Amino acid sequence: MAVSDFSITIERGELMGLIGPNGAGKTTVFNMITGMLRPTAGDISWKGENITRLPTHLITARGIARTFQNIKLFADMSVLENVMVSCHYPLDSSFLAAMLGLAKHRREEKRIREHSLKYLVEAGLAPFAFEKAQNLPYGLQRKLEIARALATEPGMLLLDEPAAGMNPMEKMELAAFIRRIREKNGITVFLIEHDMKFVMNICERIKVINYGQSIAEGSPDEIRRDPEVISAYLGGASRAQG
Amino acid sequence: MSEKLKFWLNVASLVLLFGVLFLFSRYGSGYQIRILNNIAIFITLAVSYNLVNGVCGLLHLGPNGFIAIGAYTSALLSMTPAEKQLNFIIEHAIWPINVIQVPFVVSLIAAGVAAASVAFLISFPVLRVRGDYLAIVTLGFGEVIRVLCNAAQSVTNGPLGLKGLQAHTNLWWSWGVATLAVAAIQRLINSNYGLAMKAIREDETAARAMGVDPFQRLMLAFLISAFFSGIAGGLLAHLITTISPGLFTFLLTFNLLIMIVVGGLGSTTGSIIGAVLFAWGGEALRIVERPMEIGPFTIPGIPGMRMVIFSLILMLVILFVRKGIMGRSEFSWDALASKFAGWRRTQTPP
Repeated sequence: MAVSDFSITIERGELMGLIGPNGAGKTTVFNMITGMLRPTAGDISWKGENITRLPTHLITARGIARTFQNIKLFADMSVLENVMVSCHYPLDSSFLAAMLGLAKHRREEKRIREHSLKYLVEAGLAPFAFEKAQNLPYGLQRKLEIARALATEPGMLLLDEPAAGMNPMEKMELAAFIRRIREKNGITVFLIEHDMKFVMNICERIKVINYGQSIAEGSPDEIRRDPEVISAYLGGASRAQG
Repeated sequence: MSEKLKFWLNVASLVLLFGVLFLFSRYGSGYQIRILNNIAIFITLAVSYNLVNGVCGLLHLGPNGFIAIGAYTSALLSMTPAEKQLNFIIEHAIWPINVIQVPFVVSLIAAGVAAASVAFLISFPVLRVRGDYLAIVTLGFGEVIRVLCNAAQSVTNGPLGLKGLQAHTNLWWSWGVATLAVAAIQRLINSNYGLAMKAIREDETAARAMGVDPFQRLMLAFLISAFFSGIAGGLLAHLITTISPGLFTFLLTFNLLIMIVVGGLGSTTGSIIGAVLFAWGGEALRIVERPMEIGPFTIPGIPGMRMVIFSLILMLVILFVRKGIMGRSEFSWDALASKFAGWRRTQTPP
């Protein structure tokens, strides 16, 4: 069992971190929240509604968007198209309108295009709008994943190791970007990250998971001092600090 | 290039196409007209098949089933009761097949609707699986339809098939339907529906996480593909005027697969090119099935040699130009204009 006895409450507007050693079950938690894995026991509720058994696309429609640890872009599609897919859900005109090329449909396509461009501008990806996603450098691919998730207009954004593989400069920039989108869109952010400095720097509250069980929760300072966390996870780091 | 100019260029090329068709219908030989009809029907089939295989990335191997449904539906609806009585000699046709007769155009629409309805029913089991499993399920479906056509003596006249259909299909019908199918399907691919289909092809997990319901979108592609395949089946029936279950074997699906793979999976332009090459190449290659004399050796005509050559071409394409002729790109006036501009630059000395 990857995760058991795990419970977490995230308040609206919070910036929450989830950390833990490799194989602790962090991504499994994300997969359960987004309906990609079904928990065998327990419940997940979102804004008071039980979403445990909903399929992924309906969970996204209710306002939970995510990125992936191993980047999952639509590789052969353009950067703009990647984001446009996310605006798919609130589609008013039918497929018949699309096939006949009706004016109503063209208006909607235009709206979706503008909506998507807005998110590309926000992420600084507008100059690459017509590049293929697979041709973007790594750091920008991560950013595109975030922009694509944002375009679903989520209430909560789940970021799975957004800073993985980035250099310190890119990480700083990413932290600023995450703070900015959170301010601007007023969304809750829940992120998994391995880089302690990054997590401690950006998160307001941190949850620690080990062997599928939550072992601690609190502010970055509390987590840094928690003996159980130190023994399970930060052992090496605390020695180095002391 | 402005949208307006592109629109008029489109209109001009359509006028040109139908002008050429008019000339052929007036002065062309029956053989040429036959090939042109074949090309149009293959274009309709290939483009609608490409919607599922190329755009959605599903290895669907059962279009022969939908074509059969379309062909039989349209044929049974358009034949006169008297013609049917002449055909059904072993068992009489059941009611209402034995009395019904509708105009050709209605029978074509009914063919599309019948194929799409069956597609709707089988999409529930089919779209639950992916990859090799989907290929096997759809392959089985195509076979089941063929076997049903063979067995349902009082509906389809079994292995005897239906003979003496009116040759309703002419250049206007076949090319009109092909134009409509290409325009409608291309618009769908370019719309947000098409984007979602491509997203599912690229990464289904990510597409779901972005709010795309794969089942809904894939079913849409599947139904539209079946609809146009069914209509093309109806046109085919009224072109060759004789249909039997043997016409709708897996070989038909295989031929379509050759067309879309050689043209470029995922490209409508590629499917059109593939269909034209196949229909035209099939005639041009008749030469290899004739008896040949090479020096002192005489090779007797081998029927089926064309298929060998087509299979070789398919293998070569998959080995050396896996993306096909067009890859995933489409024809566009802009690309053509920039190519032409580049060519002009190389022609004029600095």
